[in-house]
Amino acid sequence: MTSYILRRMLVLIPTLIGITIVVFAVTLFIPGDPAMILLGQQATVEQVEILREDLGLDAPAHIRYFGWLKDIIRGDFGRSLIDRRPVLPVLFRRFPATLQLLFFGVVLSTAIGIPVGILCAVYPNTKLDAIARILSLIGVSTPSFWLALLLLLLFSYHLRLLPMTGYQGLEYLLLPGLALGAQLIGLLTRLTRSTMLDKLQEDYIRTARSKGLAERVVLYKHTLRNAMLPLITIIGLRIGHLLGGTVVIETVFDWPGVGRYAYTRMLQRDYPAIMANLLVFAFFFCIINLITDILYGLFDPRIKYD
Amino acid sequence: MQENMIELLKSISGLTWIGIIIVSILILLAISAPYITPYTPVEQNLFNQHQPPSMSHPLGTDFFGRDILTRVLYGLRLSLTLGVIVVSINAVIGVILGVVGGYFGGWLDEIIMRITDIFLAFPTLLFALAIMAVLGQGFRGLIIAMTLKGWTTFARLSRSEVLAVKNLDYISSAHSMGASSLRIILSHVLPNIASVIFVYASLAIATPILGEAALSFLGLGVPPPTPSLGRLLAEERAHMLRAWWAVVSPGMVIMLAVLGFNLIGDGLRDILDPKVNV
Repeated sequence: MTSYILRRMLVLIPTLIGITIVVFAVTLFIPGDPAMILLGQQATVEQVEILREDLGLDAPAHIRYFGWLKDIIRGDFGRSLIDRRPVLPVLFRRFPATLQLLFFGVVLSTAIGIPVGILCAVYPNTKLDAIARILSLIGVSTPSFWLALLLLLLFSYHLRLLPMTGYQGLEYLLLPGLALGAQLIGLLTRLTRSTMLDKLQEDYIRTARSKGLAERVVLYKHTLRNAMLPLITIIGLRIGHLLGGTVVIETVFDWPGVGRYAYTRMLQRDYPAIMANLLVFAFFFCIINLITDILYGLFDPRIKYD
Repeated sequence: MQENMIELLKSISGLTWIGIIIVSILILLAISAPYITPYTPVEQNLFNQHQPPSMSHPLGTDFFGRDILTRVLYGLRLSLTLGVIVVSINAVIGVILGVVGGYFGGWLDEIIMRITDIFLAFPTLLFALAIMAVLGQGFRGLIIAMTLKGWTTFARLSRSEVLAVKNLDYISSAHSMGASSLRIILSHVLPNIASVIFVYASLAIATPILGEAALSFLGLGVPPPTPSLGRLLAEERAHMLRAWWAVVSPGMVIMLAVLGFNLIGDGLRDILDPKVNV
């Protein structure tokens, strides 16, 4: 197990290097001069020159890349062009809020999507199945930020049940979590239904039933355990998608996480902050991916790590 | 041939037909926008601010007194055009790289797949936002922002399809008869994977439609006053307590478009290849 994880982490290294190359390459397409952006319209030519040298902008691209990479490895993700403060501590301070939202969104989607999907598979082609399938299709197709606006309009304004914006407590998490997770709820319902239906046809299920095992045991021990594998893969992959979704959701709900930070910094063209954001999000996704792979092994009785 | 067509039409399920109908109506509406409404999407009338839905303005008017139906129809034009262009570019680039990697294997395949791994790590929306922040608002920027990463799924899908057909007997016999690789790819491999690519493409149109809406909603899509469904939502968000109709209809149209393409993609998948699960 340990050797598998170590091997898996070694494979990660080229990907991580590739990620830094992509992020750095993005900045090569910046029109104009970061030094000019930093100093504003009134800056003199001399001031711009001094700052360019200070930021190392005159060096050729590959030299700048390696310099930047060395800083990254040392944990220095650059300073904001706007307030000149290091970016990484800000990201770390804001990350828990985003994680909270992300975690809540995933838990909510799993708690709704998987049981509903199981129900659909157990009672296929019934009214319940039809309604759940239509709702999940709508869930998959609804833009999250529009859903967020509708939820605010309905629950906060008309029914006055939940607060509009704010951060402390579960009632603040409910609407953003639902808006963020709606697509995943639909996706998980559909996927649980189809994989459960597939697995229920397998020979070993027939054997288990003919052995006289209780239907509950057949359903949960035999079918669901095998159906978990594709579900884990999808949840892991979709976390990256949700992470991107936090940018819009956090903006609508004024959520104090990294998504909103990324967005405001993008509007201000604060390039070091944008780069740091991209890096942190991509690294985070790689870690999630690693965890998914390990979980996959825990759930799959056939996979042995040695 | 005709019998095949009839068989195919018969095998299309009810939900798929709904998808086909939704998408056809939306395309028709988008094309005939100038004939449907007497207004232009940009003409403002400040005496006409936030009129609720009525006979002369079926979906009401927005903060600037513009007819929302008109803005929605022109926004839909942008969404659909962008969807088709982005998916076509992604499919062409992705299929070429995926087929080359899958067919020839070796280090070339390894490099292509590692590149797709790298792009997979970036959340699509965040990546597109960063590109838009660098390139600035505009149609061209949107296409670049959504193709830089979008080709990777097509590459992975076509690669795995190629691997599945590569060792089939008739392809190895074509090889032994001295057919060139290019010829084998063009006349044997591509026709075999085309249906899967087509199914995925019809599902994938949803991504740029949702992407443009989100980017424009955040103010980094197309510049004003170009009508866009996402920007319409962003402009009306501040006034939604007073004029709910202005935020309901644009989102509804985005949802219908995405739903329509999803239904078609689902139906095609059931008919052509139940194994594709993307």
